[in-house]
Amino acid sequence: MEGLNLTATFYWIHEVNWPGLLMAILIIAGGLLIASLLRKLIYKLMIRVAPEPVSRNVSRAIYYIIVFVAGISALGSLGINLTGVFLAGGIIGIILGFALQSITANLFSGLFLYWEKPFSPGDLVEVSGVQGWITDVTIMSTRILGLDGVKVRIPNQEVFQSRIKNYSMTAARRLDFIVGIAYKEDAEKAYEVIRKVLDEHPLVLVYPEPDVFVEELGDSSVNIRVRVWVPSKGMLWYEVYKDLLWKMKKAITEAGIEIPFIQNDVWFRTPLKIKIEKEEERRKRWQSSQRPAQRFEE
Amino acid sequence: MTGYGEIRGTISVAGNTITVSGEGDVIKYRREWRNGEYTRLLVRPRRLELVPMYPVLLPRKITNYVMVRLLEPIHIPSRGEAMIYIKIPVELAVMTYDRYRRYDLVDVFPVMKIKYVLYGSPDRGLIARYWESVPMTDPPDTSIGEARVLVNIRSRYDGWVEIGKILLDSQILKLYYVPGTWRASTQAITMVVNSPATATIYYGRKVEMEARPVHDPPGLRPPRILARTEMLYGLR
Repeated sequence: MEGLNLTATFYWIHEVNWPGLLMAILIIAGGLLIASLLRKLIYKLMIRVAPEPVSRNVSRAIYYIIVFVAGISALGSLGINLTGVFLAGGIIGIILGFALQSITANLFSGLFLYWEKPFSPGDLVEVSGVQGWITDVTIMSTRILGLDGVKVRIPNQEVFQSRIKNYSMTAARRLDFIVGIAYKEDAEKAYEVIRKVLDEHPLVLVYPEPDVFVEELGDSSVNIRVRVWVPSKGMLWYEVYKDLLWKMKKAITEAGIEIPFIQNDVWFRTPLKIKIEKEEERRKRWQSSQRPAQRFEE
Repeated sequence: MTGYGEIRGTISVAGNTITVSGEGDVIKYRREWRNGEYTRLLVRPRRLELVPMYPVLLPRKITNYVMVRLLEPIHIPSRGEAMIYIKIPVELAVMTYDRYRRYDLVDVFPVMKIKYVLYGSPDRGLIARYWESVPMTDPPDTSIGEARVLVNIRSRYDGWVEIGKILLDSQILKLYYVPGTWRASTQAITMVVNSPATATIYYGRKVEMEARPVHDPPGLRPPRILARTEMLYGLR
């Protein structure tokens, strides 16, 4: 039986670069400490001027960068040559850069959206042609519950580049209607009827005052534009929109004002010759067209 | 019916017929008007009461504010004071109470025309229930659908100020009524004018001593630290 060779077992102890290891531990500990302190400091400073998610993400990113640099420095102090690692890392970085281009773009767009705050959860908006309520804004995408009940996820890059309409940001919004009346009718009488309908509707605001005016002498009708302001809250505007046009139409009809159909007058450059057939002639022509069939039957 | 108070049997009020029918545990509440009806089944209610209600709940609750436009604007001299009475609209409400005096809102219906207004601009303003009132120097009598407000206007501005509107917050406003009559009122209001375009509204104590307070509907009155209203978008 061989005796335990302690010298051989702990031989590696002589191989370890103790000063380097101590330095590496110190670098990592110091790096972690500095990273934690800076993370808290940056978060506290940024929260005063920037939205909370932006502050949180930036401070976290700085923390990880410092930890990464500390780790690299620690490995360097141990005498590990990192040239190959950096070279491979650089190549992988380029490849990932191309592969994750859209993700990065979405990420930064998300940060800008957090900063700019064009909407908040619960707002009624129109983004990229989608109308609905914002349900969630994450760092990568914005989620909208469409008016049709379908949930839509839009990447932040698209949201950032598109035209955003926020209907909830203002206390009131304007609705426009066009009411056409016949040319023979009195527009001022129509104004009166329309104004009465607007006055009776509780959700048509008193101020800003409704605006009623003849906008266009159209092809078939005198077009009256009706502009009203309604509260933006919820879907009240939609209720007014549905309600008001029909009420105006009913009131105008009841007041005896004609709402015309589309009429087209056709003019011919050269006079047309119109031949008026008498009943006898038409009957003869019809009979002559039927003769071959009769012969076949015979 | 000739005033606020308990509802029994059938009553007619402001174009509505209210019927409370049924015996035993379940009672049927029914309100009919020209174009429709509204019914509710109430389990073991101790009593039903007709009370005035804050004018911000119809056709649904979209604001807490009531803006009164003064049909005759008031000109206040520098650091001057004026005491006026105005009227605000109130809806009619039916409250039910149980044996522990816990209450619930059963029904709210309008007496006066309902209109809303934007106070301020579309991007910075707020929506308020609209009402027009003539300022009066003597306490006016109120009829059904109205409440009396005593407003003490104090100007801190060095110069004349024209006041054409008063903004009230129904979350701070308190309604009082005298049973058996259509008398309704609020607590005294103090309007401190800070500049020709801004003022602060403070809410004081009840004016009519024999009046009873209206129980607030659930959710209307969240806890507040500052019981005042800032008028920031103009006084004219």
